[in-house]
Amino acid sequence: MTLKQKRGLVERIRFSDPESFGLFMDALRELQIYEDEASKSEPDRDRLKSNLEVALESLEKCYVSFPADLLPRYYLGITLAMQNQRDYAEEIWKRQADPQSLAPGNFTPFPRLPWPLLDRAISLFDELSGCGIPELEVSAKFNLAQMYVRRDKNGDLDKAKSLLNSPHRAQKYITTAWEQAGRRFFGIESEALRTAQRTYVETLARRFQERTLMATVEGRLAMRNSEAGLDSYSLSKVELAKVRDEIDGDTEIPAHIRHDLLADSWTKSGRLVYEEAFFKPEATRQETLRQAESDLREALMYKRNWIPAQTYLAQVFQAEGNLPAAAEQLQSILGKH
Amino acid sequence: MLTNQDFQSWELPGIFSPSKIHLGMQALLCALVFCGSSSMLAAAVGDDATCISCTPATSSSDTSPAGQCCCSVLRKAQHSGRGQDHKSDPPVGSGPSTPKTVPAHPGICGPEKRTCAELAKEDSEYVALEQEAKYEESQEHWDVAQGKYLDLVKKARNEQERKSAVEGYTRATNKAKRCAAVSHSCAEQSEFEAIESDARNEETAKHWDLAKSKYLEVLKKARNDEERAHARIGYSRAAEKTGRWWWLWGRYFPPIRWWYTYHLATLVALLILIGFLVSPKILGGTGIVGWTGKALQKIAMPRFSGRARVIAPVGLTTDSQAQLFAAQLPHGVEEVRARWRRAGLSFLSGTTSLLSVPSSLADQISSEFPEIKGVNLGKFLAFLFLLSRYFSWRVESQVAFCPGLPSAPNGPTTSGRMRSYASLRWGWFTREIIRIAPRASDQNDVDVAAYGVAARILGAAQRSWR
Repeated sequence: MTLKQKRGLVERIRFSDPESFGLFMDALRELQIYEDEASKSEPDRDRLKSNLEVALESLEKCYVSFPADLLPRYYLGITLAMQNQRDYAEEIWKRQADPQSLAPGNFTPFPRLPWPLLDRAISLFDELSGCGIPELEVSAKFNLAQMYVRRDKNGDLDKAKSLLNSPHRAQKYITTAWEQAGRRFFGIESEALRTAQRTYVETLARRFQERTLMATVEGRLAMRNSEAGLDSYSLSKVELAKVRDEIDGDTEIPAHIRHDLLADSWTKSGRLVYEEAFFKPEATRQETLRQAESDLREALMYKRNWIPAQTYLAQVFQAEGNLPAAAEQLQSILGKH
Repeated sequence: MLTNQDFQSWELPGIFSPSKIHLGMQALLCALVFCGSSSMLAAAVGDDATCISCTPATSSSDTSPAGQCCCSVLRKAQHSGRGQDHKSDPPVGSGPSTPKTVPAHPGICGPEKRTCAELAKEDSEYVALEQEAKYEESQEHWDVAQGKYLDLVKKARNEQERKSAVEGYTRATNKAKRCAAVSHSCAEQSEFEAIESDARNEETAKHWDLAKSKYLEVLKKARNDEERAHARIGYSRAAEKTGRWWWLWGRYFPPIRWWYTYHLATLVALLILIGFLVSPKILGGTGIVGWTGKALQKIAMPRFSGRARVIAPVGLTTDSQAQLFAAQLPHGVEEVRARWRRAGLSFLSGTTSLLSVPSSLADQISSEFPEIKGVNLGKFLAFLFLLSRYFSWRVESQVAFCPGLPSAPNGPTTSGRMRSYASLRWGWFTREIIRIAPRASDQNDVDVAAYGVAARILGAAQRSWR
């Protein structure tokens, strides 16, 4: 990439107006406060709700007023996904109050509802996946795949699969002699070097995530496809475990990112096993559900009060008939009433 | 290098004749005494003079006082000043750079023998007189210069000096005659010429009223018919112009005078004025004035490099915590930075498994964040400090707390708003205007408003780097 092209990309990523940046930062603040509040074991429900609403409002305003700005659009997609996550948890919470829906005959593993926020997030990430900025495109494509997997409507898993076959490989940054000398004599690293190293680590981590998601998608498809058989499903589970082992053994990835990856991997594994439980006969279902519970608890060990893991765990508890435990998880997600 | 032959060639006749050998010792003593004082003589006649031989006062033909002697002076050839009178002297020595030795006053050891001291004194007096004459001439004191040059003529010691003095005398006399011709002193003549020239200049500049008064003055000071006639003509010309209607009316509306005085310049100015007035119609907006303002802004206003000072905000309501807001603003900037860093550093976005913004992109933006400094402006700060701040990037802000109102009678009160206005300015130019109104529980709840303003200032900085 020439310097001119790089400069052009930098120009595109900037905000077109101070107000756009201001709105974006207002939203980012609310999202981070939301994240901090959500990570508490007993978050404040009104506060969580208000934070997410304000963030969404600011980003919507920013998107409407400054449609050319890419980062607000990217974060609007993320915030919509967060709001959808909350709406999903609310839906699970509603089941708590309706014992009829939890009865063995009526129980459905996943609420089958239209998710308009997911639809919107998908369209936003879809736009961004062709924005012309390679770094943003790659992240947007991955998020788009995640959104398809989460929505899981007709053909969504196949779309996700096609998006995850990215040829990107992590390239290690080779330091120049000057940078090595600077690091040796002054003990400092240049900003460019730090950014390049972070980019390398992010690419590595994203590759692991892509493989994890791919294994999940293939597992789900194998489960639903009667022709594929159990072997294919087992292979997916083996692949998931293999990737997890690789993540655990990778020393290049910093601990906080490794924990994120492992939490995500265990969550996806738990989600897969939870779905598997409903393909199994009633007699072995509880055993499988316990396996799913174990995986999700493992995820929460790496990332406390992590909403995706908590949501699936609440569903597992509901399936197991352990409503108090499910309520505890849901309260942790939605906040105390 | 001087040879013995050279010395002999400058010997005065009869000094070393055999009949006077008994005077050898006396001559030696004299040489020691007087050659020791050669430096003094050299200073008097110039650095190029050295006493090279002395002869004792001997017989009755000597006019020197007893114990003294006459002097021959060795000089180096010169090409300027009084040294020129020795140009025609024969060369002494073999090389071209060899100094010439000439007797300063040939034949002085004859019946008019004088001592070296006398010679030096005479020389000094002549030089001083010559300098005085030249000075008086340069000051245009012709009569005084005339007298000085006359003295120089009298004291001239050779033809060259005489010629030079006569020339000076003639010059001074001619100049002195000019003043005498109009039967005035030179000072009076100069004054008259100054006023006349001033009058002419005012006339050329078409300042007719001033020209009229100057010509009147010239007329009053005229000393002969010719001058009087000239002044009268000038006065009439100026009076004729000042009597015209446009001159009289122009007193109350100067453009009329401009038109009759400077046709072309006034026409051009008029066209420019019309252009200015009509330009908004043609160019749109504020026309040429607006364009000029924009151009000036482009030229004069520096790019917002990321440093701005916070001017003490103005509280728009009595309960506004303006100072608290000012103090919070720099913290707001730090919070924006920290939050941006956090977004860039985290891998997964918040509570989801979605990817956060790539760090390479986050770093590009954060590297352009400016520095905002909080300054509390007191009443007694120096004017220069204010001026320097005026011509630097600054944030001017106002803040007002608007408490919530009941949505219905006896109903619940809505939350209050912290209305904040800020403008990023340089000189009289405004770069950005910021207006936010976040919710606030009370007048002390300024942190969200400060954060919002800070975020928008940082946004202005990252945009200015495009």
